[in-house]
Amino acid sequence: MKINVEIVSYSLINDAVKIENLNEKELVPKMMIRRRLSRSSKIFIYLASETGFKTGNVVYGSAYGELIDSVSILESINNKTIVSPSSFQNSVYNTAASYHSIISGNKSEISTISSGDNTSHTIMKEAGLVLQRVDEVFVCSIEAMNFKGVEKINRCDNDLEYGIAFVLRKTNDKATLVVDSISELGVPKSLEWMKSLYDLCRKDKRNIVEIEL
Amino acid sequence: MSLAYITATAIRSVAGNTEDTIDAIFNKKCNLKIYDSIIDDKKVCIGKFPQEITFQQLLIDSVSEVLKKSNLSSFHNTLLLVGSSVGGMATTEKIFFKENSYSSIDPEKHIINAIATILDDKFKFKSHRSYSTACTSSANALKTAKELLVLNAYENILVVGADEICMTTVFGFSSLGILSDEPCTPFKENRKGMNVAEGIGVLLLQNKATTDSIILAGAGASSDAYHIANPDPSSNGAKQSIFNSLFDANIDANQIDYINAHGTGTGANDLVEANAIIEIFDNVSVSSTKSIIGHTLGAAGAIEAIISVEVLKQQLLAPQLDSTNKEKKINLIDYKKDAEVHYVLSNSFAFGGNNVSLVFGKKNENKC
Repeated sequence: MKINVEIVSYSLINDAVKIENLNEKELVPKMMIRRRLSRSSKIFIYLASETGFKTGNVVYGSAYGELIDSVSILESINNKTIVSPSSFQNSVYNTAASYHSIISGNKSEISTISSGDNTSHTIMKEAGLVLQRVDEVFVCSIEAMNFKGVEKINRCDNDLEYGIAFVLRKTNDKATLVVDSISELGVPKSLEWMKSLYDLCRKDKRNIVEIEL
Repeated sequence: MSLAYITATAIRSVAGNTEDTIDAIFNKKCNLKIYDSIIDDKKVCIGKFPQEITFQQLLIDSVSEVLKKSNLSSFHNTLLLVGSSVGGMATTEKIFFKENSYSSIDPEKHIINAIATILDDKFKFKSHRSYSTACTSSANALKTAKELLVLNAYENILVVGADEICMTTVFGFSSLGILSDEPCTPFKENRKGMNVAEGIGVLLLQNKATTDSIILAGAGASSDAYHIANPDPSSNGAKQSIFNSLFDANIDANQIDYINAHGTGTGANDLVEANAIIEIFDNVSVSSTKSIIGHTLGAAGAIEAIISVEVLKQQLLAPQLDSTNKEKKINLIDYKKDAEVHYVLSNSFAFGGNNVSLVFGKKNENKC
């Protein structure tokens, strides 16, 4: 089953090591909450702001999830030190989307996909399904892998922080974009599909893509 | 419009295989064990599989069991949806704790998708997706399966909820002070917390009925928008999830005959869920089967869906290990009871305030 979806706004941010300006103080004024945010959460909140998304259905994706907090827990267990409750709370894959829901008061449905290299393509499929029920959905895919020791495990030349987001609406109009090339240096494989789609988007025309559910 | 029929199921839990687990659930045979050597100076009651067989083999065995029970000869035309909260974390831990280094860790065997990769290598599915929303992971996978089948987007969808026990979750829940040192007592006054356990739940959903299939009649979700780990004490998120599932099933609250509660045994979760149940339902029968097989985290939605299916098939209410000294006036089931059961509700709630409720029904009900 195929449907067409229109990308009504889009945003991308990335850095080889660590994204510097995520506008955290303005976007999350409460210091107590801001201090607890994971890197993925900060990137999510930034991308939501850049695309103008506040509340509504969300489909989030990450192949590796909250690696920084997962590593912190492993190190604590291995070193026989106390596991941080905050690290554990933040270690689940839906953390980034959840913090955004708390900050924005978004009580709508949130789904989190973690489908390896196909993650960003799969969240678009999930979003297509959600658009059978609602008018608009926010999709966002993030990898934040800048943990101590990542060089021992990262055998690719990817940026360590990368996020892409779209606000999508269902449309009956014809597709204007076709994703046919999905390989690019520096982009985490899990985000390649959305990055290729992002590169095709133009501000001066309607950006519509066909999605197979 | 099609319906989503659950046509074959399998469980692997601390109680054993599918038959053993269903027997343990209805006859209150708790299989959780107390360990004093995992965390220094602390006893924890958790659910671990026997070590003779690997988690990977149990995963393959449980999916093979469903294929054998089904009307399919292969899964080549079946979409696989996996729900897991930790994926391959246990594999990562074994290497890291032994070598004190990340060098030998294979990222592809660490991630949530590792489970789908194992199953796809073995069974060659049409396609696969993995969901990870902590303790609602496989409940969310079931919700998506239902929506895709109703649209006729697929004919067959296999939902697998699977979580292997790992030190990250045992130490993590311990750090939050909510890991009990005895089998959990959901909804009881002075309850001591939860029991982390490993488990696998497998359900084949199809768009055509079979002789004894049960319908996944409704699926609803919501977000608390309250706290990253604690549920909203107003119960609004839980209530909204339940309302959404009832609306989706096109039934009223008074048509639910039994609730398989999320019922973890923690102070905060049980209070919120009990209040939601009291506000929406009128003395409905309730139990938390986590007191018998533990909290299987991302697998819980799938396993408890199968228990809900068995309640409907056997027309038996599933009991709770200890239903005494309730904190709130809900109708906890103390022993298995014959009952006329038309609809069952199963709740799953997770970190991040992620809530999912599922409604199951017998196939001949009018509104299904």
